[in-house]
Amino acid sequence: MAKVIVVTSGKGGVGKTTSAAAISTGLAMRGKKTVVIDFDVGLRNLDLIMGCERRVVYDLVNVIQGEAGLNQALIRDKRVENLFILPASQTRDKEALTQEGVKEVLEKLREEFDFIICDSPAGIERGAQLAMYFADEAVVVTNPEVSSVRDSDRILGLLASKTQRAEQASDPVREHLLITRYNPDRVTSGDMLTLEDIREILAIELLGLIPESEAVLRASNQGVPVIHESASDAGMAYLDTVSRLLGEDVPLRFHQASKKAC
Amino acid sequence: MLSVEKLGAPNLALERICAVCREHKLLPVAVRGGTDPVRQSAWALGLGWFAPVEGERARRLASVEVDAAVESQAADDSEAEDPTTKQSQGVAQDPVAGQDATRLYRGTVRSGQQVSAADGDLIVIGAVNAGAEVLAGGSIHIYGPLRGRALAGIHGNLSAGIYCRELKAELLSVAGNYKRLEDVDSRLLGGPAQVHYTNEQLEIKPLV
Ligand SMILES: Nc1ncnc2c1ncn2[C@@H]1O[C@H](COP(=O)(O)OP(=O)(O)O)[C@@H](O)[C@H]1O
Ligand SMILES: [Mg+2]
Repeated sequence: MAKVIVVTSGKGGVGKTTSAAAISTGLAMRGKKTVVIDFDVGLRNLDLIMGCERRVVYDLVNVIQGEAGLNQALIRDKRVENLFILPASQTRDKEALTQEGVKEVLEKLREEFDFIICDSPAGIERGAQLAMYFADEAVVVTNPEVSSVRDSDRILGLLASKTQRAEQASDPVREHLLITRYNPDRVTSGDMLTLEDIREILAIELLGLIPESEAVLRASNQGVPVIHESASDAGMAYLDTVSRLLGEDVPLRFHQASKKAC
Repeated sequence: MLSVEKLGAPNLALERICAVCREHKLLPVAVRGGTDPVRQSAWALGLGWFAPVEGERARRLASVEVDAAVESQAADDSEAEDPTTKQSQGVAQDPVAGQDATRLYRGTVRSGQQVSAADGDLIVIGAVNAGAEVLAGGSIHIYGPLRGRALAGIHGNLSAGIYCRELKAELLSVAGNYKRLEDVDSRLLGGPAQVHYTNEQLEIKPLV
């Protein structure tokens, strides 16, 4: 059965797109047929991080408006088999996304794919709500800062009330916490919330912890999802995250201060 | 409860309105409806805020306004509501509805959410997070940390209390008498606490 997973956060710049790219790549590397959809209409970021920006011809909005078929818009990843990207439009305005249109696209994708990863825009408005509406599961991306935790808390409130699963009173959206840009040294110095603080406030299951890492910037400048850098700390942390998403029990790494790379 | 949803004004001199109410021995506890600035100033003044009522009730509210003008009655019956309503929308003022209206809520009350027991006590098995609001006509019992806003006795019940396992509240209010986080003795923060109205002020004590 296909799973629709939204990567969301409320706050911008916390690592949603980085995580959506890494997780979808990781799932495909594990043999799962995966598509990652950019819901951030107007910004169009995902294709850059996936390194396929020059191959974008049609986008999600074209498909919804019937100007292109789904197969024309899907971009096949050039590094990993089983991985496809459905880009967002840079020019259209956000109103072009309709709930009915998104529903149709997801229904078609469900027939073909194991995982459908939705990269949400920031905020709690329409775009973010559309990205989460049809989700079966949610990866809530949180930085160890008060404002980010607060926004994630709001998003969790919306996941429990403003999704199809909530409205139809079926099984609730399964919520996963992904802490990104974690820096144990700054946590120790008191600048940041600790892992325990975040877990206690948000009170959902921890899917993974990604350290603050230069590898992320390096990778995204080259248009390579950081999970390909399997020797880097962030790459390893995303590999662990994907394993947990597939139900494996993997111990947590990179959460302790100053013992560089365990 | 101040219903401002029928007023078109984007900004209200809420502070002055509250002062006038108090002069006339009316204790404002919450505001319903109004624009975002109204909501912000309600929060700043330690008042609760409710979404405007919609549909059938809104029409009833409008008609009550007219009746009240004609019959020059006290306007307080305009709030009467089906006591079985468990939603956080409106607040009943019917004192007999106060029986058996305890509400139990399991789970985390998250930022932006509001949970209320209009006619009785509210019990929360979980945390009330920062940015969340819980309200009750009676007392509020939180079996977890209180990091958000808690308003008890919202119909003026001065004997209502607030109880929590871990006090970090942004706002505590009993029948409109409120304290903000910065007004709370820092030694009480983080521990189990009880809040009552005693000797004409809000008293916060450790819960032992
Ligand atoms: N683990 C990390 N370590 C260092 N930088 C990161 C990490 N995750 C994300 N970033 C950086 O943060 C910025 C925002 O990331 P992005 O994934 O675009 O966030 P969002 O999609 O939530 O807006 C980017 O510059 C990205 O390179
Ligand atoms: Mg993004």
